[in-house]
Amino acid sequence: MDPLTTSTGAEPDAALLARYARGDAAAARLLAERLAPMVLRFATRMLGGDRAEAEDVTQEAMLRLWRQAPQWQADGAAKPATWVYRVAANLCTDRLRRRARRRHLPLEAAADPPDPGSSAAAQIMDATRAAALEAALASLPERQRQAVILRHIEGLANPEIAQIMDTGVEAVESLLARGKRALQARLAGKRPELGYDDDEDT
Amino acid sequence: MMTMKTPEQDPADTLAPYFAAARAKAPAPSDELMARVMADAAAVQQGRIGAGQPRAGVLARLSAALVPLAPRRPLAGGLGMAGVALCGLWLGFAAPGPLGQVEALLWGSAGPDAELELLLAELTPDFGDLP
Repeated sequence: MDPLTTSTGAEPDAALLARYARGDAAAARLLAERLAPMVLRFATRMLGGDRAEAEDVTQEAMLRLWRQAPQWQADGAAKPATWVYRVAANLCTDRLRRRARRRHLPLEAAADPPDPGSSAAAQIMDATRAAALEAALASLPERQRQAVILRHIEGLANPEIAQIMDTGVEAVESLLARGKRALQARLAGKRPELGYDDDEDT
Repeated sequence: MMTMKTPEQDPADTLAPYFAAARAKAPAPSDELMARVMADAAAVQQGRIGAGQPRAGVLARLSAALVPLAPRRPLAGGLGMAGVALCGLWLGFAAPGPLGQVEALLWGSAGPDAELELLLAELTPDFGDLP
């Protein structure tokens, strides 16, 4: 299923946006319920888990979509989801650059390993792995991070990612390959503490 | 029997559990965020925020950054007096930009924010300490 088609058989996002432009408030709610969670997930991961900043990015990206609605019918070029992802990506880039000028972020933000004896250990281990990935993602160059998040966490296809990132499919493939190699190298040293040591010797 | 793992192994295979863990930890929008998004939608629809006027977002954020007591949310809240004065000052000094900046602003590129930060850095020495 196309991840940018949020619910099969449902009214397309572009049609909802057109309804919104004609004054239909219910269409705005449906569109917000489809797109805001997607943007929030992406922004949260791009911004290293900063929820407040990710919420601001989500609000602003959606605001720009609302403003764009009257022109959308004439354009008809991109999907609203692709468009809003692209706006969010640029907003995240702005914030990351601003943040980098102000301070250096710690890249080793992974949590301590959990006690494997606990009944909730598996759940905690998952959270620890997610935190380790988040820290490793934060160490990637922005374009690699964007591509990896969109492809491997959000599940978008490479041509859609190329549209969002305003580049070619081959460039996306290259970013993904380099990003994954870097992540693997980054996470390799953490495999034992993240519960992967048993897999190695069996 | 020991499984041999070579450096040439497809990175996606070893990363899959991490990606799965990240997907499981997906953040969901709060009711408060959805309320903010819907309030913006209503404001644009009712003409309280101009459609197709992305510059207003930058001005609103400029105002929010310069006026500590001004509400940072919603984004398009009213401009404070200091914001209005400084925006006027800025507009008075700023040379007309190329049309490409309008498009860049529409897409949320780094350009306008960088311009905004330069302005703020000049006008408010402690801008970097703002929340």
